[in-house]
Amino acid sequence: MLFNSVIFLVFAAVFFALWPVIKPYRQPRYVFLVAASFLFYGWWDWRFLFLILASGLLDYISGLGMAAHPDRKKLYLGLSILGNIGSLMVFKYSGFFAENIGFVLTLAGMDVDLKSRIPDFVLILPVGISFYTFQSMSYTIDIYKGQLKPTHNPFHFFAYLSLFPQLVAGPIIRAADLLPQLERESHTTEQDRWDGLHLVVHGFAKKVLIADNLAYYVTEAFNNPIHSPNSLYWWVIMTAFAFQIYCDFSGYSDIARGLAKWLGYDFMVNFNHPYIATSLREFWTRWHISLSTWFRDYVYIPLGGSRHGALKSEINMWITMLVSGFWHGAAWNFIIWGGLHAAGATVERFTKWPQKVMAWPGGRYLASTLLLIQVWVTWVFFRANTLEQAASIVGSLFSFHGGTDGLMYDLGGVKLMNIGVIVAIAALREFWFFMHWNEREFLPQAIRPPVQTAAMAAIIVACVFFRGPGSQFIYFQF
Amino acid sequence: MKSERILGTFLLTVIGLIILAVLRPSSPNPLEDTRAREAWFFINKTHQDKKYDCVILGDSRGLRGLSPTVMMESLQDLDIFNFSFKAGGMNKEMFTATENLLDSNSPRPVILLAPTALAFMPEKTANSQYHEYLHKPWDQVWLYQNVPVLAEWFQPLSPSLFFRREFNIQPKKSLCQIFHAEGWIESDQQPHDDLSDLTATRERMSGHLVDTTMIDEFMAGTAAWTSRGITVLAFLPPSYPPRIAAENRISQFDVQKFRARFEQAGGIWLDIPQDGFDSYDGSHLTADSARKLSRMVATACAEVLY
Repeated sequence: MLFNSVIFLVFAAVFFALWPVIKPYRQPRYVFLVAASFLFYGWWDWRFLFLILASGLLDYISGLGMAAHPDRKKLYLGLSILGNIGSLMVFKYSGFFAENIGFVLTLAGMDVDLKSRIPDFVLILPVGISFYTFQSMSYTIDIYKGQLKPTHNPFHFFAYLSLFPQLVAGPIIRAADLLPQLERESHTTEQDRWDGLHLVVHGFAKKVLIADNLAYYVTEAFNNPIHSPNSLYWWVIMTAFAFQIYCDFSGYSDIARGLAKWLGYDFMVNFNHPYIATSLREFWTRWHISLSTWFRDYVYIPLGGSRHGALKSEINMWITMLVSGFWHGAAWNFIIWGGLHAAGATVERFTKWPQKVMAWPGGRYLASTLLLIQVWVTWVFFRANTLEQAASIVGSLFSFHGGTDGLMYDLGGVKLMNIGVIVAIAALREFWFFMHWNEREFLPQAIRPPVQTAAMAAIIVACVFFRGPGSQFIYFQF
Repeated sequence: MKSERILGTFLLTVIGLIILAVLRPSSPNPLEDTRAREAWFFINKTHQDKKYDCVILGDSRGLRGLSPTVMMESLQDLDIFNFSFKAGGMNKEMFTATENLLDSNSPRPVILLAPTALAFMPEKTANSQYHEYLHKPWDQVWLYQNVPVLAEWFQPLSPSLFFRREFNIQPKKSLCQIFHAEGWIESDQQPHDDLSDLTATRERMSGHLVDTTMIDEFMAGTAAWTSRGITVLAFLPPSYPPRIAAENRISQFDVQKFRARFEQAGGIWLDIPQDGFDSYDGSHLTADSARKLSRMVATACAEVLY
């Protein structure tokens, strides 16, 4: 079920009508949350509910096993990791490995088409598999590390694992954060409900007003088999994509957080205005925070983190970034994307250029601009359909060829104006935070509530009338 | 206080939605801004129960080039539907879907095919537009089929609408479309431009050959239909002649051989002139030319059928 669908509106209306009646009773609350979440997920494809059930049951039993048999903790942890990584390997990466092994075999003179032998069912990527398997694994790893006590109630566990607002695209919530919240009866204040509405409406606005409208132009540019060599054209398209992916994904996270607020729960902030960062390292403390902290806690630190000198720390960071790239998609593009971020972070560490630039007058603006250029270029690899296309686009970006005439020829006034209007709205919003402005500085207390109310209504109306043609959230495919 | 704000938000939203739905600003050219009508058109096309005496199958040239209403002026006893799609392939899947629309009790069941070299490109087996609308969520299908006026009211506006109106900014190419319930898109684009896409087409198609498996499926489907008493007709939809020549040459689509195999499979080939039609983009016919083509095809069908 998509957040931006009529059926979700009906689902949410029924769910939130029943929720206050059910939430005081612990066991019915768990059962209700699990049933609603399974309905939400099964609406897409009910067959893959069995995958969540299997992967969840394995971790639930492993958690209980570790508590009952501390001497066999490693065995249970191994089973949990094997099960989760195994399902990812089968359902997400089997096609990638089959293709690449097949390619190597072809080079060795053996003409074997391994991919065609994979059953079609396995090649369907279950929505949100990367999110819920990571969430599930964090449960067993935390129990193994002694940071969490397992729950004995399977409905409690599945309410945590499958809670519908964040099931398919995060944020990846840690069991230590959510299990205790689910355990007690939640209470919402009027402020919570207003904040929830604010998050949901702003999330929808990011998705349907900005991301979906930009998606149309980005898709057209990337699906056109003949690439324009015009440099400006590709800077415009990459700017559009940068805001598309940011607003698409952070919009989903905002909606998830808003829905959680209405339930009476708190989800972590997943995006903290990443494009106002002044270095790549800062960017990763602001972009997809639940994933980057997951990789920090469960990959980077277990590898040794920064405890064994600069070289080992860099190696660990590179491994983490490459795995993070591969998490995003089963293709070399994503691995290269992760590698480019790692390379940028390494250069930053050894040259300390962000700190040096920041010391200049106006340095914050310059550092931020240089960071955006790096991020835009890496997004090419993230979005391109093939590596050849990515290389060709990066070549165009730095060819400085074509000028404004070429841009007008490739895009035309109307498309350029549409992209300009949407990007300007998104960029102004980020600039607001870059400047640390606050609405309290501009609006007197007395008129703030009616202005906020009117603004909220105006945003909803704009979402209806200026919505773009896109539909699915980008991160569903990861 | 806060609950008043939530209630106030919803009230203001409802008022705003009603006001904008009724008094929505129009685009400088309303025929360019047709997203809701396009969705309604293709959802109806892919989710209908009605059966027809004659079903047309083609790619975008068939979709924009053949008007069933115009054809029915000459073929009055036939109820005709145009089941063509953009980027439509001529493969088994589309043949099955086409047959499902044919009235098995019709006294004169006819299938009219409009094959092009592009329809036999391997990537066309994906039938992307057909699938896009076939797999729309049922709530959207229900809404478009039962309350289309809602979709029309709430049709999205272009983000730059106000600037365009204010500064009179014209699009580089302006495609106007009228969606007809019988499956035809009446189209025109300003300015007309046959040439600019020709070079791009040559580059895009370079090294891409027609898929012989798809052609085999086409012939097998034709043979199966004719053996069941269905009249299967086909013709080459006209376009900008240099483009058709380039497509056929690069993709090695031999029309004469294709026609011979089609006739061997029991189909009847219609000789439609390839000259004398106007295209607006080097590929698709203008509305006037589409009407002219529809009349010609209907006359040729009538000669075969009556």
